[in-house]
Amino acid sequence: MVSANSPAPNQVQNSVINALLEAFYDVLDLDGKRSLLDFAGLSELMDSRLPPRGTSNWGIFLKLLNAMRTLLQFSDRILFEIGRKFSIYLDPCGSSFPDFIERLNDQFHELELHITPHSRSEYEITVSASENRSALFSDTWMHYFYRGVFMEGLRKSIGGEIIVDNTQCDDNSLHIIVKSK
Amino acid sequence: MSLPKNTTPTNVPEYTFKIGLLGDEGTGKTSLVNRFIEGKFEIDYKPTLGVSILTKKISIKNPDAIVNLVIWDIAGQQKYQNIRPMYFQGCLGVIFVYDVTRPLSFSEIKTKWMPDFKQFSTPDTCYSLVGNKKDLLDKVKITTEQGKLLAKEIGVVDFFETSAMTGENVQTIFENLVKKLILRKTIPTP
Repeated sequence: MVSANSPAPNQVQNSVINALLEAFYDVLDLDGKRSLLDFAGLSELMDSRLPPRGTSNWGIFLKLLNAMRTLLQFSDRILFEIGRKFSIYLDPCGSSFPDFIERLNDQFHELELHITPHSRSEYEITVSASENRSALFSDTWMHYFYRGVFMEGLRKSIGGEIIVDNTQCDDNSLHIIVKSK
Repeated sequence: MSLPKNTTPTNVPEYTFKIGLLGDEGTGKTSLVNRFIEGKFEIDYKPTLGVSILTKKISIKNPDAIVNLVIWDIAGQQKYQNIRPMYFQGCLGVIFVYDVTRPLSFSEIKTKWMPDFKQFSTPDTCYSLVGNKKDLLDKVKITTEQGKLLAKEIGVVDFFETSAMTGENVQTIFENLVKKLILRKTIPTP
């Protein structure tokens, strides 16, 4: 289901890109952020924030993911932490976990997130990518980014300590279980 | 960790390695990376903020291989002490850098940088030791012999004195480290 606030299919809300840039800065500081932006060919975003209510071409987001996938491979703790920070900046006030997942669904057109509640504090999320983008979204290293996003999403929803219990990946999809400890 | 063995059409194996440069601030880590990747040297000193990450694809002979390097030039300042371990993770090759004109940067390889990194070491991790700024001839305080002794003591695979300014030994230090990594025949993870 796509909400009325969803950007057009080839667009992404600037708030998503801004959240990712903030996360880069928090985890990698200025030169780390610069490295990712230079690799992505988006150096112009180094010193500016995009207007929060606007939208940008979806390709910008894909370039940023590709830069993460290349430069941050082997760095699962960093990818996890960037995912966690991204989750915070995207939804700073927190919301119910199913609503958070729905919001992500609205944002990511080439990605389908399916949530299965096992209980109020345990959810399984299936991330399916369209075939032509599967490498960007279901790449082994990118799992750690999603784990951070979902872990923090559930923490904001129910509080307490959250663990990512299980991750499985097949060709075009990824299954992650997050639950309270 | 590495991602070996995509094989190119000519059957030359391809690897990807994360290499980290560690050492006190101002030892010339960024200059070494810039010299290696871009073949240039800037005299102005700008401290690295966090980490600078660059890539370079190189061809190696004996053993023949294509290698994609992801090079992490990690800030040496004290203020990054807490976050730095996160940057260390996944470095299969480590280049410890000291400044041959600054004895403290030399002693801290053993007392600070090696112990800090050790928890991220795996049986496949290879270390090199570099004494940089050897072009500053009249200011050198650490002798080559001292460097060799430290290299032996901490168990690195290579020791070189380098000059990022002239480029001396810079290519060699990276290429030798990569060859050692390939020879360890690392297994892909995860």
